[in-house]
Amino acid sequence: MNPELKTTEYVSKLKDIKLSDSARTRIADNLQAYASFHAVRGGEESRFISEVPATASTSLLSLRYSFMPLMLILAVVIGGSTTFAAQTAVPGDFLYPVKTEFNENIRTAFAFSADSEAKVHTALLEERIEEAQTLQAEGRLTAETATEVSTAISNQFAVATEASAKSSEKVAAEINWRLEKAMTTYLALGGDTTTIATIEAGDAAIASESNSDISMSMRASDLATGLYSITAYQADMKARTTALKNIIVKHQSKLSAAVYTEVTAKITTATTLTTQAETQAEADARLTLEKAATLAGEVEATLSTLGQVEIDPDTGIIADIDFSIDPMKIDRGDGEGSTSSDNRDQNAKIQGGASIDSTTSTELLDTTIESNSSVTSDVEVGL
Amino acid sequence: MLQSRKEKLFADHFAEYGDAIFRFCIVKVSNVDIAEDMTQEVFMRYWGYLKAGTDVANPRALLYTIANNLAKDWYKKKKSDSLDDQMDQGFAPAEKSPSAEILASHREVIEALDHLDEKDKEVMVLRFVEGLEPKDIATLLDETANVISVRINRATKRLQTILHI
Repeated sequence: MNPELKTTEYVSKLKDIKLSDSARTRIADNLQAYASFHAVRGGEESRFISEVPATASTSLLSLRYSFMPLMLILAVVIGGSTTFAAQTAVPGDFLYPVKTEFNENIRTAFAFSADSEAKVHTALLEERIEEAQTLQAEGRLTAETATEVSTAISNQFAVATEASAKSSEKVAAEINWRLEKAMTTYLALGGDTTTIATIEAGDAAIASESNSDISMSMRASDLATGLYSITAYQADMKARTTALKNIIVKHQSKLSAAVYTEVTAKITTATTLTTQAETQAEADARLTLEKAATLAGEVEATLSTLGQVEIDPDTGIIADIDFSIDPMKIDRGDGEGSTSSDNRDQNAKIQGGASIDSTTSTELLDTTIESNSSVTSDVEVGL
Repeated sequence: MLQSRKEKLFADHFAEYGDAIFRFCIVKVSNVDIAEDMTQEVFMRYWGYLKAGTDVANPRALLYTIANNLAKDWYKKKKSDSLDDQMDQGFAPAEKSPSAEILASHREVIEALDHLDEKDKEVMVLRFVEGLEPKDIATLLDETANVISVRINRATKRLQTILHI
């Protein structure tokens, strides 16, 4: 074959490149939404004959949500700085709608790829939770705002979960970790009974809305943080950190050096904090234990992506981890036998968290939390 | 209704030319995610023309022109942005994002093409991947057919050297 032909044939290999089905569908949907929003105006069609949207920013501002123009007008009328001022608003504030309906819609409209969309939605969930924290800190968590907050959080959780399912594997792993962390924070917020009740309602909403096949990591003792007696909390944390430490030591050879160093450092800090809490006054001890719980949770999250977690049905603490089983390949008995790693429609799901009994149900990471159920042994989990 | 007819046309054109524009973009930016976003942006701008009632005699040529302009903007922006900024925006570095759709052999060709300069790269793709005639490429790039033919020849030779064929 002559060299020239060989060269051109080489280049023509690229003919096989096509948009992936998911990208094609996503782009087609976005374009359709874009086209119907920027509708043809009857009668004045050739007015801007050669006008093309000048930049991405002008063309994208109005990508979604038909009520945006109203908010845009509102924002313009009130003044340019409004949208910035609105950024710090919390539910109940006058400017809060500007933040959620205008500022944030722009953020989601700018998220082009499935990955960035998942990230934006997760960031928004984190913001919703921060707002809840702000409200609580300022003592403004009334029944009304609490309902608003929990509805917003459960809605945002569902959206973020859905977005995460569409994102790439790498991003999904990060997103799920963030979602998990956000929800743990949210549950830990339950400082008084009103909030707990609201949160439980929120969980019920989440349970009914999310429909993925992987359970959300949630620790029932976190839910009960505010109700737990400090001694019980401490004993629990002690058992949890000790168990984790044993697992790490036992399986050291199976962990990569980087993971080992990371989890060891975290668990050591968590253990120190737990011990430290013993000498502290209750309020401080609670804060210290929360820090320890966060670290332990991170270690659990890391480890549970590497092997199959076995949970002690009595204590709800991770008893051991079988690193010979890839959690991505566990058949969860959902009929879809997720043997391929592609099938990681990575998502979180909380089932029936409506009335978690804080004294009996203390399942760990990624287990399905079932209302008032006694935990059965040999729970299959996976992240 | 005008709107629905145009929307239908718009959807048809995406179905017909979406892949070609995506290929063009991916050769330009060497990254699947950015190429997908860019493809979407090309069609959004294209809708601007359709909506305004511009008589689009040659949709393909117009789409390539828009894609080419966007790619130019992208290069400018890429030059001015630091790598960190790009990472912050969630763009993968030029190391390319892994994707099942882009096979290793594709990547190899894209990388080989990367050694050519932009103008050569673009005529090679239009000629040998999309199968356009030099005169069509000429219209598209606003050059004469002769210039394009010469460019194609030169680029082929250069690529041959790069590939040691």
